[in-house]
Amino acid sequence: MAPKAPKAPKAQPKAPDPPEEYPTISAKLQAEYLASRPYQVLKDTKGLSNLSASEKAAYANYRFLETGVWKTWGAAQQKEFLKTVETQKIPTPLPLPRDLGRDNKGREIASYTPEGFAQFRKKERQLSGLRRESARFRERREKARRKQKGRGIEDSEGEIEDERNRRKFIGVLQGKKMGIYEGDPRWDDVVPIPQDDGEGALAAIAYSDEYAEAMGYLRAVMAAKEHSPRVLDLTEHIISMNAAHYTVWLYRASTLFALEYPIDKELSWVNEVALENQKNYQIWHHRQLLIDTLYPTISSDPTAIHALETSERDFMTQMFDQDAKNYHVWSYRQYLVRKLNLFNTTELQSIEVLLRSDVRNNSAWSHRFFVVFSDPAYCTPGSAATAHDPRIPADIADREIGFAKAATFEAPQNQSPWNYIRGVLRKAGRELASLEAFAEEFVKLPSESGEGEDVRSSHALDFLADVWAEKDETAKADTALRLLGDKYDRIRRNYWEWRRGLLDAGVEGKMKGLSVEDVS
Amino acid sequence: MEDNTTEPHLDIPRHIKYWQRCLRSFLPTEYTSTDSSRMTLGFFILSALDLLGAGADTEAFPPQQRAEIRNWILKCQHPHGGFCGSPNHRYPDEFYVDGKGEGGKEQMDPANLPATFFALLSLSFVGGLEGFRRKQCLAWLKSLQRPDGSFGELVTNEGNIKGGYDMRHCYVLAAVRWILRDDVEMGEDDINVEALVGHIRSGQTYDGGISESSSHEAHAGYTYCAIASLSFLNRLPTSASSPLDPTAGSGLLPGLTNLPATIHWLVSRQVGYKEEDDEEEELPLKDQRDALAGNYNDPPSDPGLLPQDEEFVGFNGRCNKNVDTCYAFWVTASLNMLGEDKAHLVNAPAIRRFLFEQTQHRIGGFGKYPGNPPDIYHSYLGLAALAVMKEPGIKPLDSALCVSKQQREKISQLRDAASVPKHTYWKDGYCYSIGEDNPSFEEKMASTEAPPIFLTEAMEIISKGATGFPLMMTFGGYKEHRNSHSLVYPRINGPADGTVAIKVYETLLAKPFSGNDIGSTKWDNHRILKDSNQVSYSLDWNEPTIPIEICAQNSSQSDIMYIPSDHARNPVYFPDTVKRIEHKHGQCIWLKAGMNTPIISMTKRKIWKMEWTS
Ligand SMILES: [Zn+2]
Repeated sequence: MAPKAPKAPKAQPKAPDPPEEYPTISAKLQAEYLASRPYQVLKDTKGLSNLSASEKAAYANYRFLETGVWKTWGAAQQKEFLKTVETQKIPTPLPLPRDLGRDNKGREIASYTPEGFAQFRKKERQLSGLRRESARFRERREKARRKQKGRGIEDSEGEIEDERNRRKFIGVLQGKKMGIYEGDPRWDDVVPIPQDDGEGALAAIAYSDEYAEAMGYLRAVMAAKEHSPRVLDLTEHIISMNAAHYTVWLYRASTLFALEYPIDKELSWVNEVALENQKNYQIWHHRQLLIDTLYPTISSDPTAIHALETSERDFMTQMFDQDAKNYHVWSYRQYLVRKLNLFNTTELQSIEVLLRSDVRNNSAWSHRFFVVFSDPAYCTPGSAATAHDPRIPADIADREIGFAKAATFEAPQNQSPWNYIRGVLRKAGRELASLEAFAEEFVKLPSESGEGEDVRSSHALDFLADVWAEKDETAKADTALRLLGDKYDRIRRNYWEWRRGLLDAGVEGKMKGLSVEDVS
Repeated sequence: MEDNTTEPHLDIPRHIKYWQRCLRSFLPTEYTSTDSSRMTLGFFILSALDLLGAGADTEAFPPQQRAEIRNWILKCQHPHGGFCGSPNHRYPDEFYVDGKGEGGKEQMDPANLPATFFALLSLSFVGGLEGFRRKQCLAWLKSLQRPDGSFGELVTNEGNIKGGYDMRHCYVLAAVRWILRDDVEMGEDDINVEALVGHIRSGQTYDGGISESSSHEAHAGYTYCAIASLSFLNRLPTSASSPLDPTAGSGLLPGLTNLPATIHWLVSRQVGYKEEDDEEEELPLKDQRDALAGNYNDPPSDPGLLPQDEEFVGFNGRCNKNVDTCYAFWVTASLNMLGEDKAHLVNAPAIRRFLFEQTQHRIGGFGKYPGNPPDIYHSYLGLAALAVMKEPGIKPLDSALCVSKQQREKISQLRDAASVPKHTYWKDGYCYSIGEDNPSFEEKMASTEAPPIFLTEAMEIISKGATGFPLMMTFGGYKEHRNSHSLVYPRINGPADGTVAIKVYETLLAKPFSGNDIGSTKWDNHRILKDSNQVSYSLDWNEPTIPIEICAQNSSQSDIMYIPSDHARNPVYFPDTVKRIEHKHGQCIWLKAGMNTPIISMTKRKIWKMEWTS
């Protein structure tokens, strides 16, 4: 629909009044376009044959103007023509409005209001001004950097701050925030190396812009083998998004060492990260690396070692408050016990604290076994957890059995101490049967008439089945296994039945006997 | 039993849908923390689809997609052997030369052992091990072993082995070694197998399980890793009828020191639990005992094993820990490797109930805990656990490799095929590879064209003064930026004085990369354009097409076409480009130069400098 045609044209139509308001800029431009062609509009609405003679003449002159034919005429003729155009008040036809395209949000710019469009243009002008300035800033610094051969260019803090703000402003104006590194002039000398994912990517992740950008910069500094304070910030940033990155930790460590960064400062940072990333695994290796580096510097100073021992134990206590069975923390703890030679009563006591709050904490039981049976003071070096160690003193074995026994009385259905007891017996080279009476505290088999059955722990029953098989009391062993499958441990019925089958075949006792390994 | 319709079952189409979604769409941003193990996730996706009968060898995958996935995996391969877990760990090729490492190697972000394992498995789904650097990989594996027999996950440029003392590394190592060479003795070049077995043995714990490494707490995942490693190394005592270790008397170390204890520990992982978290409150002794023993107030009349509705049975990974979907796999698969009969020692109906009614999600897949949303890891292991238990509708599983038995068989064949010598021949300007056992081997080799001349020969021509025409060389400069592909052509001119000047041309193949106006100074195409203009040369922006389509048309089953990632190692003609260049510059000599030859790395460095620092 063409907008209103100019008012009933007289012989000499005037340029129309400026229109009051247009809903969009494209409507306005379209109207201006038409307004610059009054005779075209006139002809289109009335039809050529209905035009008056003067109108027809004006239309013809307008056509000459529009097509530019008049420019091919002789000078005199041109002069004459322009004069006529003036007297007939034929406006110069504007070119067809160009396609305005879309803005960065994908909206048609043509659909802007004229006012909005004016603002848009203003913003664009502002943006290109800022971009020019920013480009000049970069060039200037780049030049300075080249002169200095890459080392320490002197920056005016003020200038940098200005540029940082400029980029922030550019981000606001372009409606797309500038990346953290892209917006920071201090990183201008680094050329990010973006990921090359391409077609056919498996498990492609919708990376955040933040991660994608930071990763590009990390790749670049790693390639340049840059070890500087800002690398610490960058690695920290990456770690906060992808703590399982298997090389960023190594790179961070090498940077720390290159900078001779204070280890205790790094340790307290690592504490925070660990508390936030319970499941992370790399962080504990990083910590080991730190301790490995720190240790030689303090190894001759017992006070310093003791202080480290205490602070590390405190930190682990904090970790255990969140999850007392965190596998990585326990791994680290074993490392530390070996490193600082913590086979001592303080260590045993701190495990007991954990067991008092949760007697089912199998990790703590496991750690206790390690501390007791790897103590270089009395253990055979390198003796496996599953092997008999003849050097274990009898009183140590007694103490451990006593400790585990107490726990079974506290919670008979807790498998941890039952496993522990078996482990201690094997270490000490004692027979299961040596604890038959103890296990029977929890188990009364039914009499022939089926009376008096009382089983308070399936694990005790399990233990006794092994004891009796060991002693060739097959009938009793069979009863124990049958009770387990039918009644006290029904989940594992298939297993207990299989064990009964082995018992029948006479393999059970032999199997135990043969498989308990003696490592020399 | 009575009513089959209420019997829980696997809704295959729904699970296929879940996995196809994982394959096709972007994983949510929350997966960023798994960025470094994308290769692992990729394997789970490909293998899950295979287990469900919708794998890469079916119609569900167009050949184009298979080829693209293959390219992507190979793109994560390191020039000096091994793979990385994500393209974020892989640098452009030119970064791996001129290093301080052994033989001038530069490791950059070094290759990673688990990623290598999953990349190999994934490759087996999408076209085999062609393009995989087997020899380098075997040498690299050896470099990962520590004196105590354990393995790290990577080795740095300085030769330091990094990564924990972790049974998982033993597992992937043993598996990769099996994939590449079975258990064939290789003498000096092999890893120290005895030391590895010794290390695995030392991980066994007093309660019969196996831990991360010596003297730690037993854990079902590590137990699985140890047992599977031993199975690849043929060190498992398996047969129920002969409890004696089969390796006894052979002089070899037996893998497990106490088989009955290990079985006991494994079956103990199946535990009952209550839905709500009642860990805090101490139950009265009797109830507690009953609950933990799988006894319930109102036992079913059938002395079967199904617990009451409000009680559930699952698997935990350690003594006194919570149940979790993945342990159903780690435990049942471990038992399965100790003998087919051992898998039946657990309560299979309870596992099914747990997986189907507790952790299976309505959109497909499995969650970690009952009621959790599905994640890739637990969805795969849930499926794998069902496959171990021979769930109908899932392909039978190989417990050790954790892929379908069919796939393991395929991998064995690929390995055997890889040992057949390969040759290259040239046809229509393309380079093909063909095995000696191929029926048309003789014919193809007889019909081969002369390859493009080698660099050395070209240099000789130059030195003899043939300077009338420019020399062109393509190399593996197939670069993909986020939105663009580009080919890089260094042009070698031989001026009269006998020196060699290299000029560089670059053409963008797809739409030019457009970054932010300010930030991407180095990556936007203006600069590249500028360089091209400096030598007053640039190619058509929208062409040529990447020759992958051409490859697909040309390749027959017996010919494996070098597709772009192979182009990184093998020069390929791009006929249209060649035509255009020759049109502009007249006759050219085409050079064949491998990726890491000095001339190529020199050139790449030069481009790098020109693009970035001019
Ligand atoms: Zn899990």
